[in-house]
Parts: sequence; C-alpha cells; structure tokens
Amino acid sequence: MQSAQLKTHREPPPPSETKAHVWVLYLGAGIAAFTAIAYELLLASYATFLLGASIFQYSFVLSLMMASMGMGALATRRKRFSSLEQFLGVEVLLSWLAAAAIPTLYAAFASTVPPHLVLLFFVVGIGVGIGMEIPLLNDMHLSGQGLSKILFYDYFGGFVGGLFFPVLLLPELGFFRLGAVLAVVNAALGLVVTVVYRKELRNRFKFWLGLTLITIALAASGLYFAEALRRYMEWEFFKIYKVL
Amino acid sequence: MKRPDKDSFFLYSLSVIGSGCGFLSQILVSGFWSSAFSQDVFFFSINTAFYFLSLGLGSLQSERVLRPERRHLSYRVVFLCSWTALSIPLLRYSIQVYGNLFLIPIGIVFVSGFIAGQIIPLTLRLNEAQNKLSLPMLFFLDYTAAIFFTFVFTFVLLIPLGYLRTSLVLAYSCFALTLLLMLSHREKNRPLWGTAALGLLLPVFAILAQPAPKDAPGWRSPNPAKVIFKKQTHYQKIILTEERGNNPYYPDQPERVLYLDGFIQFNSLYEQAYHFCLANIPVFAADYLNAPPKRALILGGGDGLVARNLLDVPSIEHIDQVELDPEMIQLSKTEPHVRHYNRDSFYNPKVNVIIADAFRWVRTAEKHSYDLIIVDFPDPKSITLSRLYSSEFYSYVWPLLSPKGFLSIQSGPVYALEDKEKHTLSRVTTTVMKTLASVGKASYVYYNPRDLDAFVMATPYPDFDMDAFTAKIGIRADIANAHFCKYKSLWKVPDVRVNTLNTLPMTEYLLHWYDMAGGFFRYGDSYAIFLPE
Repeated sequence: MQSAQLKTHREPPPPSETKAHVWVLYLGAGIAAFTAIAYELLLASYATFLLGASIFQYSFVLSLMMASMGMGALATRRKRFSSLEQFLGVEVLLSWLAAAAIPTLYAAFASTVPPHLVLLFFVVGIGVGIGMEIPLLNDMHLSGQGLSKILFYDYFGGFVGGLFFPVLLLPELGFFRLGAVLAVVNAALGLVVTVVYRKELRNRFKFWLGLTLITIALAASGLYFAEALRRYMEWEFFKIYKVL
Repeated sequence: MKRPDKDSFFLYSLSVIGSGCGFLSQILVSGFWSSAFSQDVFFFSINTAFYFLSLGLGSLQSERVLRPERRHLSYRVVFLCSWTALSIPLLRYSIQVYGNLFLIPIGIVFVSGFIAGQIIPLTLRLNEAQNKLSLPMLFFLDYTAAIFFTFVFTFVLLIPLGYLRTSLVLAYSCFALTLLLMLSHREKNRPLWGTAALGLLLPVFAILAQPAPKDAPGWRSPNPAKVIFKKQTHYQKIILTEERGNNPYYPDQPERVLYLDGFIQFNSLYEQAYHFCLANIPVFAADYLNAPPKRALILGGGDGLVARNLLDVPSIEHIDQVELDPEMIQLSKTEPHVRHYNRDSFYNPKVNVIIADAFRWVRTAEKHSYDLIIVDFPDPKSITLSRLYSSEFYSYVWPLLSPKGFLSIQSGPVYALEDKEKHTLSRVTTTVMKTLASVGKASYVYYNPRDLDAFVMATPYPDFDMDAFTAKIGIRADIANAHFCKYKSLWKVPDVRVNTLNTLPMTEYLLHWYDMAGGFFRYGDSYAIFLPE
C-alpha cells in the first residue's frame, strides 16, 4: 500500500522562470564577477603590501585563483544538492572567507605562521567558490540559452570590479573595510537569490533565509568594526598607535 | 559525455593554447608596465579589468560567427600567439615614444582579451554536434593553462631571460604547438598557413626595428653617457655610467653615476656629502653622548659607501651589512670604479655582508646589539620599498639599538615643492617622522642643502639634546657653517598618514613629489636603457 502511494505521489512541477529570476541570474553573474575580481586584487595587493615582490604576488594569486576556479567549476558536476542550494552555500562561504581573510593574513604576518600558507588557504577557498558561481548560475537558468549573456554579465562585472578597485574601493575603504564590504555584498546576493527563489526552495526557504540574514548581520558588524579591528591589531602586534 | 577523441583533443588543445596566451599577454603587459612606472596595484588592476571586459565582448562577438569552422578557431589562436610575442616590443616602443600613455597597454590587453574571449564559445559551438566537450572541463583546462603559463613565466623564465625574451620563448612555444596540431590534422587552408607565417615573422621584425639602447642619459648634460656596467637582476636593473668633460665644475674628472631602476643611487662627484650626513652625523651624536659606537648595522647601502665611511671611525669594531640583492654586492666587490669609491669596504674583515630581505632579517636579529643603525634604502617608489619605511618595520628595527644608540634613515627629498619659501617638509620626510612617532619614537630631521636629501635621526636616549648637539658640531641652521648638512627644528609639517603595512601611503607621496618635480619616469631617447629587460 505504501509503495502504491509512493508510486502515485508526484513531485509538483518546478515553478516557471520569471523575469525576476532571469534578471537575478544576470545581475548575480555580474555581482559575483565584481566580487571575484575584487577578491583577487584584494588578496594580491595585500600580499604585496605585506610581503613585497608585486610581480610574484600578483602572478601567484591570480594564477592560483584561476586554477581554483577551475576546480570549483568541476566541483559543480557533483549533484548532491540542487544548483540553487549550492549557489547559496557558496555565497555564504565566500562572505565568511572575505570577512576573515585580511585580519587573518595580518595576524599570520605578525606571527610565526608562514603568511603564504594562509594566503594559499584563502586564495584556494575563495577561488573554488568563485569558480562554482557561473556554472551554478547557468544551471539555475532553466531556459538554458543564456550562457553568452551570463558570461557577458560575468565579464562586465569583472571589468567594473577591476576598474573600481584601484581608483575607488581600495583608496577609500582600505583593506580591512574592503574585505568586509565584499562580505556584505556576497551575503546580500545570497539573500536576494533566496527571496526570489523562495518557491524553488520550498521547505528549505526558512533555513536559507535565516542563514543569509545571520551572515549579512555578521558581515555588516565586521564592516562597522573594521577600522577599530585594524587599529587594535596594529597595536596588539606591533605597538603602533594613532599619532595625532 | 563521450570520451574525447582526436577531434576533441584538437579543440581542447587549441582552446588551452589560446586562453593561455591571452592570459600570459595580460600578465606580461601588467608586469612590464608596473616595473617601468611603479604603481603596481593600479596597473595590475586596470589591466585585469580591461582584460575581463574584452573577454566579455569577445564572447558576445563570437556569436557573429554563424557557421563556426575549425579554421576560425585556428586563426584566433595563431593571432594570439603572435600578439603575445608582439606585446613587449609594442609596449617598449609606446613607452619610449609616448611615455606613460596607459591607453596603449590597455589596448594591447584589450585585443588579447577580445580574441581570447571568443575561444571558449567557438570551441563549444564547434563541438555541439558531437557533445564530447564539457563546459566545466573546458574552464578547468583553460584555468590550468593560465596557472602553468604564469608559473613558468614568473618562477622559471622571468629572472634569467627578462620580459622580452620570456614572452618570445612562451609565444613561440605556443606557436610551435599550434602548428603541430594543424599539421597533425592535415590543415590545408593556405590563407591560414600564410597568416601563421606572417604571425611568426612580425615579432622578429618588430624587435629588429628597435635596436637595444647603448647609451644612458648624461647627468647634467644633453650628451649621452657611456654605459660601463649594466645588469638586470632578480630585483632591479643596475646601470653604471661614465661621462668626461660634461660637468663644468669638474671638467677634468670622470663622473660616474649608479642607477637602480633608473633612479640615481650615487654620483661619484657628489656622493660624499650624502654619505657624510647619513653615516657620520649619527656617529658624532653618539660621541657627543660619550658612547662612541662599536657595532653598526647597515640596512641597504649595497654600494659599500656607508660602510666605507663607518670604517674610518676608530671606535667601530664590527659592521653587519644587510643587502637583498647579491648582484649589487658582487658589483661593489668586483667593479673597479665602485671598488675605488667604496675603498674595498666589503673586503674589510670588520664588515660582515648578509644577503637577506631586511624585513625578515630584523625580526630575528639580536636585540640591543647595535650602537648605530643606518638605513640606506632606495626611495620608496614602489610598494615593495615603501614597506621598508613602515611602522611594522621600525617596530622590529628599534629594539636592535643599544640604549645610547642612534638610528639614521635616508628619508627622500626634504622640501615640499608647493612651498617656494622652503619652510615646509615634504610629505615623504614627514611620513618617516610620523611613522617613527607611531611606534613611540621621537626623531629629528636634518638635510643636505645642495642635493635636498633628508635624513631622520632618532635615539632611545631620552636626554639627547639635538639643538645643543647640532650647535656644537656646527650644523644647526641658524648658526650653520657646515655646507654638507643642516639641522632645522622648526618646519611646517603637512598632513600625512602613518605608513603602516595596511596603508603604505608613502609611495603615493613620493610619486606625487616626482610629478611636481617634472616627472622621473622618462624613457625616450637614451632613457630607454632604464626600461626593464
């Protein structure tokens, strides 16, 4: 009887893709790329600031991040969770990594921990996450015809991120605040996708809503306290204090 | 997805070569451009941004190829190989003729990206019928190609070969692979082979059309100077020049100038004043406290001239010299003219030369072991150098001083150019003082009035009276009778930020000073010799 019931029970058809879905996907690709290029430049620039040898650091970070992106792209072939939930998980993870990267690197530099190992961890972690984003967004795109458009928004978002990084983001925010801002952006993207795709998430909606809200709250408080954290760490590790 | 066959292997391989060349071109241009003009963060970021934009536009453009064929992909890969080989010669030419016209390197990178952006979409569309290639696998292979090229470029080829030869080796290797693939697939398209031949020859013509510069600019003369030593090391480009009869004040003496990455390190006719101010004033200060220095530490100063001055001090028993670039030490120990100037200081048994990164070395050095620390680094014209003027660095250096020891730091140009009356300290010098103050150390600035070099001195001894000391040795500005060095206690001080590793504003301050002074990054005519190799 139970098996007959199981046989006759059918999954409801997936909600159809609306304009909101499509625009969230395209903008999501752009925002994901914006933060991706900002992460690459943030880590490469900070490594240069801490360790010198700019050509080495940029080459190391950019190439390793691209390789990690490749691994991330391959990892999306595993289908244990839906593409949507994988994407949300990636955004949350990127947010946490972004918030932690700069303070952890500074602490490693001040300690006996080799900074390049810590850098490697963050570059690979963030790179894998970034690499998963576009294939997952492409999978989420039900019509399946928009790869070129997704790629376009991806590349355009990367352009904006690369352009804004040296002329606006880094000079105005500095490293600590910029890492926190990027964490907020990724968390916010996760929140928007959660809300737009709430029907697809079904009974998992509340879980993802709660998780993305908590992540945004943590990232925002990280942003609020970023400069205080920087000054605290400079004092704690090197006895540097603000000179009036 | 079926197992890839020969056709798929061809498509994968071409895609990997094309994407790899595109990425390599971007890294080459960014690296060369930032080596020539400093501003690493800005140039790398802008180039990366335009590369991504052009990838996107290229990706869209690929849809205009209505019926893609293999030759479309082959043409693009051949172009990218040739373009990568042309990148550095084009960039060198544009820098020599137009200076820092950043539209040129952006344009080079844009073209690379625009063509590279078409590679993946075309490859996938060529495969559509067989469905043997997967998008994630293609991305993975392309990203792996990027890391391979970057690894080979940065860690294997750049140091021994320099930018130009590295770009040629990698580009022509890609060319060879591409031609092999075309041969193995019996490519019969004659225009394609013609294009490949042209692509192979164009970079050769471009290089032959730009002969390597032989002379360097004269110090104060429009006549070029003869280059008597030139070497591109792992860290910098070292050039030693010689002129005779061009200096009206010393018409009979040869004038030799040492440049590091195009910036002067010393001029043989004028260096004595600089090194006297940097090295001997703190020695006098220690003597003034009845604590003549016995152990000295020199950070930088790989030309051996600071060591020369300190070896003339009778009380000095031991000098540790920390220098990053072994080629600089080699030059100072073997080049006859430099040996004459430094009087073979590095052969003196009192001098212990240590090849190390100063930042790493000071973290592990023994505390309170030096009576004198002389910091003679190049001006902070890049992030890498600016780090050596940071609070974190000084927090490691300071504990190495003995209680009556003295720290003396080369601190860039002394005057702010905005103040014609010369009452205002430059932002560079002010930042050194403020950065020392951020780790709790008061400091004093004095300067060489002829060459406008500033020096900052500090001591842990709380009762040191700089006014009285400088009056006693005759360098206090109000009663000065010394011409080499002057001390002034009252300055107008601009608003600056502390130079910590999280901010490093010093490079920006110095580059701004250079701009106001008329610009230093010139590579036209005989200045072309200062371009990276």
